[in-house]
Amino acid sequence: MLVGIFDLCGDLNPNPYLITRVRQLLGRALPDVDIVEVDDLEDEKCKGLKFLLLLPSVYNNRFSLDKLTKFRGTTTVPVALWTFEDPYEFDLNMAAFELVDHLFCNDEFVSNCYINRDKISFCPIGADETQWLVRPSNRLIEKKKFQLTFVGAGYYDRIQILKRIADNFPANSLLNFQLVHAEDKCPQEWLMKQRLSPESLREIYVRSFAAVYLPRRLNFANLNELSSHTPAPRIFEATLAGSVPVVSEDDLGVFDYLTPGVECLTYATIRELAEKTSQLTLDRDFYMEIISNAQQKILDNYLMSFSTQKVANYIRKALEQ
Amino acid sequence: MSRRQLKVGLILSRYPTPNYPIFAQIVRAWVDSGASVTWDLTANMSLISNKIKDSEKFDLVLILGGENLSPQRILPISELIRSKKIPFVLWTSEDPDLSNATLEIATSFDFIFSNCKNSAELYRQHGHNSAFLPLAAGESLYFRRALPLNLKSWDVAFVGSCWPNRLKFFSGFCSMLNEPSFEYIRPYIRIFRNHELREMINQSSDYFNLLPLFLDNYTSPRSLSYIYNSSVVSLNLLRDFGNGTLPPPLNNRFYEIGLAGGYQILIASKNTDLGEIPPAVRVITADDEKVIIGKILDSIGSILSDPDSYKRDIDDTQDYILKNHTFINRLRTIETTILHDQIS
Repeated sequence: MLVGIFDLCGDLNPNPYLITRVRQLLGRALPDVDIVEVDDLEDEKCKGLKFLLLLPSVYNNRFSLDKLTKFRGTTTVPVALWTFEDPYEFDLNMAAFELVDHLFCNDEFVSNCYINRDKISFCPIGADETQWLVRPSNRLIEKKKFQLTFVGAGYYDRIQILKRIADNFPANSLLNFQLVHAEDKCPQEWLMKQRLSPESLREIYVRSFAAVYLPRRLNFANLNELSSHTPAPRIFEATLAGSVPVVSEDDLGVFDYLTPGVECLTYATIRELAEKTSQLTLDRDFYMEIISNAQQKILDNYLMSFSTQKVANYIRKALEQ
Repeated sequence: MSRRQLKVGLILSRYPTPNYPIFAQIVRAWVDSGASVTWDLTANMSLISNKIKDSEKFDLVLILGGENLSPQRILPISELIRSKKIPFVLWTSEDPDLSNATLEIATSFDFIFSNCKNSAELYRQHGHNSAFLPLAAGESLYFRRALPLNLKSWDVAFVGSCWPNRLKFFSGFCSMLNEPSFEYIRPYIRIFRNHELREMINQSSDYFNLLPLFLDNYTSPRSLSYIYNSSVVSLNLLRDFGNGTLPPPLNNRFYEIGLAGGYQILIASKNTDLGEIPPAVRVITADDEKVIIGKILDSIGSILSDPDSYKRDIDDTQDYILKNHTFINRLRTIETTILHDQIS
């Protein structure tokens, strides 16, 4: 039996490793199924499919809802969409929702905004422990270099916060900010020429005591101004690699996943952020306690294999019908 | 005796809107109760219009909201729906702020449910069929089990839109919390930034102390329920519409705090008709801000002194909300009012 997986973003996908890993985990969960990559719905191999999984985002230049409409009109292949970008692309995803048999939504709150609840499942992306987990040890603590790290897309609001951090942390603080596509002026040394591989990214988090969580505020297809609740997978990846998650007390959604003060640290002001991350560098027991708690919580609850199993169960059921 | 399935057309009067999640909850509730629902988010309500033109039968068509409903927009669809003898119903969510605008289009509807008791009375005085029907709380967005007092993250919380009375109140309240004698109180107070706010700040420096508390983005309902659940008390300061005519009605936050397992201090106008008040709600009606602040602190003190009653009151309130103030309850009211329980 042939199941197709279509990375709708293709070369534009900022995190292709997520798709690669989903494909591998689906293959493990469905050992009797052949999983093939699809990159065009008009491709001959689509005719032999028994199921098609679309992900992670409808917004791109090599796929359109018209093509999907045509595909649905000419085949009986069941189709599911797994969104990675809700609520930022909610309006587009909602249009796609009408055209698919099931939608797996990355955000708990937004999954309540799709009306037909029979067709929707909350399915957070989670982190892959085989790729990211580095258990903390005294030897690794010796290797740590950075007090605070942020790596990600350089959205305007993120740059403003990072500038405030850089301006207000004590001068001897070791900060590591690396941005792709900066939307505002920032120090040259923050700019990355290209995206990092997951291995390089993991090494950065291994060498950091803390990673600040800065969710994106950019909503380019979310006219209802829906806010996210479920944190992006990066916070779980960074934590598995050994960086304590540090979260603004306004990013409340995170606290449904990581308990404040136990599995993550919170801050209300830049000064508090500086104080708490400084404490992590000075107090090994404190660092070890928080990071161990946080890693265990993720390993128990938020692995990509759990989410992929949910999708695999749906595919299995569809194949059996 | 089995009865036929209810067939409903549901329109959101303004889309897109941050209120969209409420609309989604209502559609889901109606579907859950067994109805067949067609929902329409198009600007010209064309989806439902076209179905009616194609002779599709509806038991009722309901518009939720009331914003953006000019006579030019509403008359054509009203004539179409009524020509087919389908009851055409409006459920307002922004009264009394939009009462005057609603009066201009009231003849287009067979019935108007209003979120404001006084507005419903106003519509009746003008000869229209109308009843009070407040919004409710969405169970899947707000329900959380109550936390014991020792697991609360904050002592007092508020998150809401910017209205002049709220700015004035919280400016005084936050100044008080900054005094050394109140440093032990852990607050979580946030106000959504909007154009009214910018105007007020331009006019007065009194609100500068609130600047760190402003949010540019809305907080998701799921996150709001986390705040209500994690705070010893949540303040519900009813907004002052500033039109000077009708007192503010109860808002949906009134029900949402209760469903989230929170304890509420409701700061209401003396003229607001509150109806039944569940046990985990304390009501303060006063004009003087210092009196209000003093009563809030007294309430927190007495709540903290009796943790057993606190938990019991929250649980009882949650049960009360689930039994009486979810969207399914509201839809039953609409069905029995409009259709006199003809269908299941």
